[in-house]
Amino acid sequence: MKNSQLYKGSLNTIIMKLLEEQGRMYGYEITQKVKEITKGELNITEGALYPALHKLEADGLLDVEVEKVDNRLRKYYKLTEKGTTENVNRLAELEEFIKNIQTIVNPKLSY
Amino acid sequence: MKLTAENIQFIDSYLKNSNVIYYDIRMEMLDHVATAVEQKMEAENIDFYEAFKSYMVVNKREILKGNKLWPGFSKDILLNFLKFLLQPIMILIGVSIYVFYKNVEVANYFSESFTFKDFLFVILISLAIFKIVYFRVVLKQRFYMIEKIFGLLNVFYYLQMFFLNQRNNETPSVFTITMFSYLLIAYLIYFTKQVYKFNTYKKQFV
Repeated sequence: MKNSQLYKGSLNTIIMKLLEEQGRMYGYEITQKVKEITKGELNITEGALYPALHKLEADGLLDVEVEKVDNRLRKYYKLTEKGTTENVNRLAELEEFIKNIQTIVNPKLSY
Repeated sequence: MKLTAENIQFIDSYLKNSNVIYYDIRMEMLDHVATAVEQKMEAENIDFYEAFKSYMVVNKREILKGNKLWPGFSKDILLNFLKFLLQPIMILIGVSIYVFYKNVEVANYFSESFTFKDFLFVILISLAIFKIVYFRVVLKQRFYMIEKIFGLLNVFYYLQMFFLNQRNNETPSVFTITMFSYLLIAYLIYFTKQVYKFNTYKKQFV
């Protein structure tokens, strides 16, 4: 997807949804997972991903675990309890948004 | 294909030379680059240097976007601190400070040459000195996670210049001194909480 502006507002929700499914993930893994799921259509850049992760962490929605992996340290992120609750709200919000956009873009398909 | 300790060291030095000064930020970038380079080596069957070079040519700009050169002023921290100030227990402390100043004339405990205003200023400066000692002597490595909190001190400094100007001889109002005492006390509690959190976080880096 060329126009990255379109997914920017949903980036936090995408990250949280992935973490809910996978348990815990590190930065590079998240970018690859998104690429894999969307068959290369959606490419989350490093410059957008890490600030988003750090903000979610500062807000207390994510927790961090650091582990030594292959001669280096790896920072894993996982949802906190607050994050899990927030994830439900944000997903509902995003679904609602998608539905609304669909109504606008393709009125015939909507109900 | 896994990278060797020398390869990792190479990437680390490269990032250091690219001005990634904070250890926590560099560590995360290092893992990102290392994982990407490993995958590239495997997918294209090339050696480390070749993979590293071709990866960085394309991605360096994007990777270094996450770098921070100085803690500066962080909007997130300020909002977080404001939220902290609004917690019921903190408001209770604020009200108690107000009641205290309303009933006790603190200026009586200070002389003309060293006023209560000076006292608040000294506390602010002491906190700034403590910050330098803590970072340079105790921690040795620089961590963005903890340094960004100190951006709050800059905000207090400017507020102090505005409300408690040393050139102004008027005695500050009860409301003003309550506000400053409240901010400083809240900051100390907030900072202690953050350092405690940071210490558990730092232990994982060893």
